[in-house]
Amino acid sequence: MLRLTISVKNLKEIADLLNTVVTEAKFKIESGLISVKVVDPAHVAMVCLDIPKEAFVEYQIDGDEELALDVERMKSVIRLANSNDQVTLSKEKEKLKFEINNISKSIALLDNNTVVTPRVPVITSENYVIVSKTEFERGLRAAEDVSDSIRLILSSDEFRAKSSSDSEESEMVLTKDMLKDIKCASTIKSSYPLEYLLKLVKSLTTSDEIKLSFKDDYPLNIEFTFGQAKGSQPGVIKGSFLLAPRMEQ
Amino acid sequence: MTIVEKYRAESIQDLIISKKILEEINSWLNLWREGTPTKKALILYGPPGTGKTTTALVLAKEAGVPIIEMNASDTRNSDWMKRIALMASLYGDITYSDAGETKFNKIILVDEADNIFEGKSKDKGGDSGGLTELSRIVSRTNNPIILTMNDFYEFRRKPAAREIINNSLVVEFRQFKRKNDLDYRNFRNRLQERLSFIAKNEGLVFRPEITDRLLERNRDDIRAILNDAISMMSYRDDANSSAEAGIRDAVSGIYDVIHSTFKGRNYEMILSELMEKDFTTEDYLMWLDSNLPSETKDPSDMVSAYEILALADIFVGRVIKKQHYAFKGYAEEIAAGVFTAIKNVNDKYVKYEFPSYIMKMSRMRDGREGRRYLVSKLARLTHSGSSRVSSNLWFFQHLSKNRINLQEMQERLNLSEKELSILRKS
Repeated sequence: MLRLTISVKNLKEIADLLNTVVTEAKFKIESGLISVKVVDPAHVAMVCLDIPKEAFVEYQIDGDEELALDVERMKSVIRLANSNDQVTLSKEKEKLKFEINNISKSIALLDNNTVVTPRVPVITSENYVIVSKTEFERGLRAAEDVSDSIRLILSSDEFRAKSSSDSEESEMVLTKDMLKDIKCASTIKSSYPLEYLLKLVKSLTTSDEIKLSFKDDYPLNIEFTFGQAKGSQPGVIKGSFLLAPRMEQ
Repeated sequence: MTIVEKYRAESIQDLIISKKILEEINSWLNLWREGTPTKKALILYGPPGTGKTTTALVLAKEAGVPIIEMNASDTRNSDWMKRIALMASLYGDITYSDAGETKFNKIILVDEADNIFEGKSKDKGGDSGGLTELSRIVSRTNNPIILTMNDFYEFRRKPAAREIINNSLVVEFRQFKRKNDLDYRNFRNRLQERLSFIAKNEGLVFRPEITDRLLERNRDDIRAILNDAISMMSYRDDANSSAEAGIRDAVSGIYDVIHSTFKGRNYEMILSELMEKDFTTEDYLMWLDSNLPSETKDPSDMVSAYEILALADIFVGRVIKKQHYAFKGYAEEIAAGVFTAIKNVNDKYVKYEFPSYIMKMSRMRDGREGRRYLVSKLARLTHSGSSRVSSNLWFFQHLSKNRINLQEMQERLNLSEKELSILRKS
């Protein structure tokens, strides 16, 4: 029997994050945690989440298994709940049953074979910057409507996010003292799709620090934590958001 | 999974494809390995089942890069084009770890691109704006794009297709030109090899003598050949019942029907091919019309053949007027008899041409539309019917020669560039 109880806040944030890149996702359920990896159809953005047992109020499983779900359907079920509610999920044959207070609703599970879990690339970078999400979001918003992509530039003492088109330009400069942490030996730059970055910061509601690491024209890895555990300990769920770089001619 | 999917080629060695085509495709992909070529996309066109999609999948596999597919079953309007094809074309591939080793990160496959139906208005749904977006993507992409299609001529007439074609290497996917040429024999051998392999794997018996029958029936449609072959193989123990049993009705394409109408000289045969046709009676007549001159050597033959065609055309006209569409068959049967008028048979090979009328019509459409809008605006302004304005358009054209008049008309009618150019033409 599979029975999971989780706060609506946590579940909503998980669903929103996945929904930034896909509409269907496959969850891998194990004894200590649930993990999920998704990639958008153009292979540009990837989301990987590790949701430990502690993020749940109740965690009852029989053994390892996989559940494929329509994320948008799940979001519409969550919308029935108040933000302080809890949701209990249980598997009934080919359906997943959601119980929220006095309401119960079942949605169909998808065929596990039709939802593919992507291979996560091995990316490593020595350089990173830790910024406040709100600060970063402001820089992204400045770039909105200027261009489809944003250029991130990291040097030993500052982090810049720049965007330009033929007629318009935007730039955010964060000096060392405005950053939580920075490590970078020489200047590196790379461009990424703005739309996905904006979607990410919008759906990350309960996290305030994010770690960005990249290299010259190399995938961007954004690491973050979010959600709340039972004892209201924050940042219990670990996630990473990977973005492919814009290919320069 | 069907047998055809199960035995879809997985490597270049498995592909049943002519050497020439393979070389062309490979050298295009090699250009991508060195940088960004001017022909950024590859158009593979040809009849269904000849391996266009399979080739694209194999190319990606051999290059070791992921493939991003946009199939006919997906929505392909401008939004989705942007979300998938545009993103994929400009950015690297996050699932591909060897970025930098090759100049491209993935291959983008737009399957059945001739089936992107670009509507006129945004709210009509369908694939509106899809092709226009695709043409922009093709001109800017950083990753190779492959487009497959059945009907290149149909595609060529679509809006925005011109720009796509200009930026693409166009390869016709025909495995052989005629029976018994070198390509045909290669094709036949490769096919036979593949069929015996499948038979062996599936525990069936494959008799090589059915190969020619399969080829006759299906030409180079490998998917159809496999389907037929497999149903024929299952009758393995009974030699006599085997051959006909599993053969499906093959669809006759316009080239084949035109060919047998002129060259076959067997009326029953033509009629039976017409039964399976995938085009309209009007198309048939137009194709006969534009190709008749090249099939007749003798002017008097041409005259009498056109008499027959004209009669068929009269019938079509009546059918459409009365809306008795079921009677179209009679027009077809009359037209099928054109060969009886050709006494002096042309035995040379004729490359059948696409009816120029259809092409001209589509080219004129833009012009006609501009004229229609202009006329309706003028009609409203002058409180007259649009047909009256249309026949007196010379007057307005003359009027507009005066700069002040033109300026006033422009202000009151808010004319577009197209409409202006029609007004200025005299």
